[in-house]
Amino acid sequence: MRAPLSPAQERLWLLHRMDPGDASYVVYLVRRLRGPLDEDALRGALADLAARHESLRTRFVEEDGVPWAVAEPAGFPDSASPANSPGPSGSSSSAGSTGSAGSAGPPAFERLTAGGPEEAERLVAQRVNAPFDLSAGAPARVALIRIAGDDHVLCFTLHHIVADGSSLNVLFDDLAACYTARVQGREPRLRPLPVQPSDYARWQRRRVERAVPYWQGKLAGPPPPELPFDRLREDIRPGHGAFHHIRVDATVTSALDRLARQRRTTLFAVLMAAYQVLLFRHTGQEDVLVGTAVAGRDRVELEPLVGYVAQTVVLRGDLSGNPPFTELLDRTRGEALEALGRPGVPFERIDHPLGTLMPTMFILHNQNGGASPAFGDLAVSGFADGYRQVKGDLLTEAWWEGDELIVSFCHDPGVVAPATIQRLASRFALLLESIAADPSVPIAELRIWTAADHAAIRELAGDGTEGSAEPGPSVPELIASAVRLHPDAVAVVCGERSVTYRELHAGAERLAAVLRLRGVERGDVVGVRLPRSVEAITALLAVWLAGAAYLPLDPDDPDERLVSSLENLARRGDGPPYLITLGEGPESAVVVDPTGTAPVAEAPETGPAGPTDPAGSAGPAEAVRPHPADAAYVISTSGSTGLPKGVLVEHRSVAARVRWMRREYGLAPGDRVTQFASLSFDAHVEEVFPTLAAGAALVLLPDGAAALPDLLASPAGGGITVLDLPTAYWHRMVEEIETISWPPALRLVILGGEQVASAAVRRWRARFGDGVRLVNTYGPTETTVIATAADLTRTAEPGELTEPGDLGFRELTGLPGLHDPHDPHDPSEPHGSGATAGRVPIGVPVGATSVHVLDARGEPLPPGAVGELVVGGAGVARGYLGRPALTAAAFVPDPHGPPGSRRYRTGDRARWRADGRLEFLGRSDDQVKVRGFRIEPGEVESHLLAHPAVGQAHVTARGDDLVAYVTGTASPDELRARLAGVLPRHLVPTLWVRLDELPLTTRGKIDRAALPDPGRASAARAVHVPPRTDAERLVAAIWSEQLGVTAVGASDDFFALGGHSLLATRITARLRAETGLEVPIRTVFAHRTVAALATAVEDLLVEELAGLTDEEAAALLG
Amino acid sequence: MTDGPMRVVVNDEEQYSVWWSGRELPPGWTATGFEGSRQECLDHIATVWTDMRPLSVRNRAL
Repeated sequence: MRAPLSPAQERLWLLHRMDPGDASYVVYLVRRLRGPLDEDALRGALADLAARHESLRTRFVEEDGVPWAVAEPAGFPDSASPANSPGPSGSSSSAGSTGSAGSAGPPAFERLTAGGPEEAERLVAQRVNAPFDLSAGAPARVALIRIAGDDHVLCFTLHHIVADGSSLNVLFDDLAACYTARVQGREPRLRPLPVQPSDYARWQRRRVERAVPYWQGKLAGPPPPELPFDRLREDIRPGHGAFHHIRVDATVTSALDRLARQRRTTLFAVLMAAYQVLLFRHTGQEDVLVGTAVAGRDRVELEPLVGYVAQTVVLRGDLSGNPPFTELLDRTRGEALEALGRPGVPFERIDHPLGTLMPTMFILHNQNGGASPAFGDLAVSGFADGYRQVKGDLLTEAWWEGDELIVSFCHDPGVVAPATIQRLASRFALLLESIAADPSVPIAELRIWTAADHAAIRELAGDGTEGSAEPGPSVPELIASAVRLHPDAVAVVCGERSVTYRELHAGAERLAAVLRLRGVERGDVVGVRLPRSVEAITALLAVWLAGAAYLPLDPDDPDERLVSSLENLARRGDGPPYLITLGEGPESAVVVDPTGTAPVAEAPETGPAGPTDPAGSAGPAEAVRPHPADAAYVISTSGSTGLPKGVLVEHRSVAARVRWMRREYGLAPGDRVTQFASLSFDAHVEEVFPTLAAGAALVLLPDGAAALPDLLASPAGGGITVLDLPTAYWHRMVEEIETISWPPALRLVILGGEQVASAAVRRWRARFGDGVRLVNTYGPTETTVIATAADLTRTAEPGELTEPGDLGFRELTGLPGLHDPHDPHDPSEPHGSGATAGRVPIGVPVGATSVHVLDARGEPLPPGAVGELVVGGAGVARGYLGRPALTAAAFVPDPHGPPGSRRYRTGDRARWRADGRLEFLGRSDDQVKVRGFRIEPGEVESHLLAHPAVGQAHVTARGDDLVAYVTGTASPDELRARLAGVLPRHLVPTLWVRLDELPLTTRGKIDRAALPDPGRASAARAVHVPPRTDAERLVAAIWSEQLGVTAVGASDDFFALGGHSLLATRITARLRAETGLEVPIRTVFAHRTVAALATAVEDLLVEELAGLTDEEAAALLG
Repeated sequence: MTDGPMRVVVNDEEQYSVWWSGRELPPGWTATGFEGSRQECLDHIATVWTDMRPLSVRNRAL
């Protein structure tokens, strides 16, 4: 007899087809039976069960890609039983197995002997973690493990496709009744079953069909899936589970139960609402999707059924508007009433991956609790099951134990740090207490962060460190001492030319004298617009010696921008702005040409006078010592309005950064540091001043930043010890890592500006090991160059770059006892702090800096929770020149800093990771809108960059398309399939452009304007391309037949035509029928167009032919 | 951060910013007396904060 499967069964069947070795869908019943066991009665009772329940006689076969349930007639002998009978290999080695008897009829039965309870536990764990073959026989096994003559463990395992949680209770009750009857010499008398699973499956198929529109509407446009923690790595799926339990005491539990009754709902709704609040407080998302399971046995005839009747439903919580918890509970109640009565979500009919519809699950088990039925005269008790499979990132289950609640958090410790889960569980416990104490509190204000969380926030933030940074020497003073200590050391190298510290200083003094003569005073802002040259470096120092602040301007910028910047940022009262530039410059400015005042190679005793130099008469200048609060420089950043914003940075801020960089980068007189950044970008501060403060040599790139590889290949480049590079530029260099002439002396590379790709770090470490230190930095101009730093190479280091070590954050690798050394996904391989499998961190606060992650209400968040990064401390800039409202909005009171201090709201989203380092999660205002959906390109980019074969990635919106630009060897088809598996449909780019490299601006950032227009590709998409080859015609014909679409073209997309995962199996079956080729289902997912799939099929055919003799090949082709 | 009633605050350096009306002021900050929406507060600041140099810098320049 064959019958169709219920939709939920079809889904499990497909998952099994995709991954036959997956044991995560094993359900089990494990009981210890003490007393004199009558084995014949037990086996008779099992035969009774098999006769009674069709599920125990059903196997699953495939015909033309369609699965069917085939039930053997009741009383059928046990021909199928050996198929699923062997336990995991080696089960009998030490267990003294007496072998499978195989005479009791299905389910397969084995008798084992254990030396003691521990061995029995091990045998049980092997069985509940062993997969089934669904087609070989009924997926059910029974093991009877003998510990002693009157002490046995019964281990009944089944595949979820034939049994759910309620079924296990039914099975056990029936087994107990039959056994009891048999030992008493009676025929078991159970009421006949009104329906069998095949009846149910037919009925359920019709119901599910009717529920499709509801679920499609309910689950439209899901938010990007976010979990309440950081993952240790992104490259593996959860597999091996670990469980962390908390106990909710009777007082809190009864208060929650009371609350449920007061609001005319159930404890489930209270816990579900609380769980949604737990997620919301970690992610900030107000649109929260949580899956749950319902028994689905709301009809009396379904109650005694053994089968997969439980349904998975998704509740979509609306947590907007910071409602009181009670109001959220009312919403949840309505949502639950609406959703729980329906058949479960038809996931294959919803056009988003399961993980985005249900990033996590919460289940309240209501079963158990009842008295155990009589089992002959045996005493029945529970027994450790040792189950350790996990189906998703986080599965949370709760059940009653007496008048308390147990809440269990199931996770993979290789994917999420156990310490993270423990913290999450403690927060949930505290949240439940807070709700029990006062459910009228708004959800954003409920107490959730524990005392340990508050301690962690304090420790990680670096509060108070700025207080300990006593005002040290200013940068001009630091450089002056370098001049005194190393007067004849080389300070700046520019092509063939190099100047010593003495010469550099003398040149700066001369230019400063000129500036003073022309009227420059303390507090002024002087524009500097010079090409990459010794003169430019001299000019920066000269402006400082004159007591003013410099405004660096890019010589490549058009004159209008120059004038606008000068007018807006350098104007002083009514007077004209100052500008140091070559030649004439705009009329509206007081122009100083540095030619003639520049450093000249000179004998040490020669006086500082050039023949035509007006400074010659200025005499030796009185050194202007900058006050810490004096302005040091103004950096022009492009504002969203188009009007440039001038960020004004004070000397104390620059001094704090330069002192930290010089120390942490270990700069010393022997170092040679490249000057890569354009002076108009504040990264130059990190290159120029720590180098000059250390007495090291600054190596310029007179031919522009793009000439760096040439410099590195030149004899002079071999001595470079430090490179400070924009991340995007470094990514590009790493793609050509073997062709670049890396300087033999190179010891440190500093990155900053964009999210670092983990694949690039892996490549870097493969080439350099830990030999060249790699430091990732983060920081807006408003916090003075950098605010945080992470060492990506060293695993433990002293000093400022060290992450906090005493917070328990080191437990990166989870529970060692759970790791299987043969598992290719074994997470116990060292991650180190340079872990390269997940997101690359931005590290910890640099010296004299505090960092907080704040929620929407401005409250600090502990590790795991996502919020806005806010930076305080010595680096906080004075503000935006002449923009009081903008300044007041971004620079806000710092309640954790010294009295009256301010901190800067970066507008960047970040999270403290489990290891105490920060990860950057994109800008909060960087969203684009495509077809009505708000999308954060950074979210999509980070998924692309997680792919090992992607070099660089940039995602942007163009009209109704989301466009991905990628470099590397991964094909767009492959990447599209990967993203389609993890992101909501609307987050998967619709247009793909593969480039050899991403265009970069002169500043080393991605040049958005220079990205090629994907428009032509877009136009081509609409054009119907008829199938061109035999393979394409075959694939198109099969699609047309299976999808019910006429005129399928070569460039048509399987999913766009309405294909889904179940249809994919039919496609493979049809391909097999037509070609004799076994085409894996994954191939259909990975090659989504007719042309791509046709090519894949051809490749498979070629592979197949290569393995045949000529005769066989001829026969096949003939 | 969530808007709500805000107030204009100022520190000893006469630097202005905004803070939530209902919440305790951080040390070193005083309320100027102006309250309103965030935008109203910022608009007000644009009219009163005319010399953006910190007070200590202004005093030394005299």
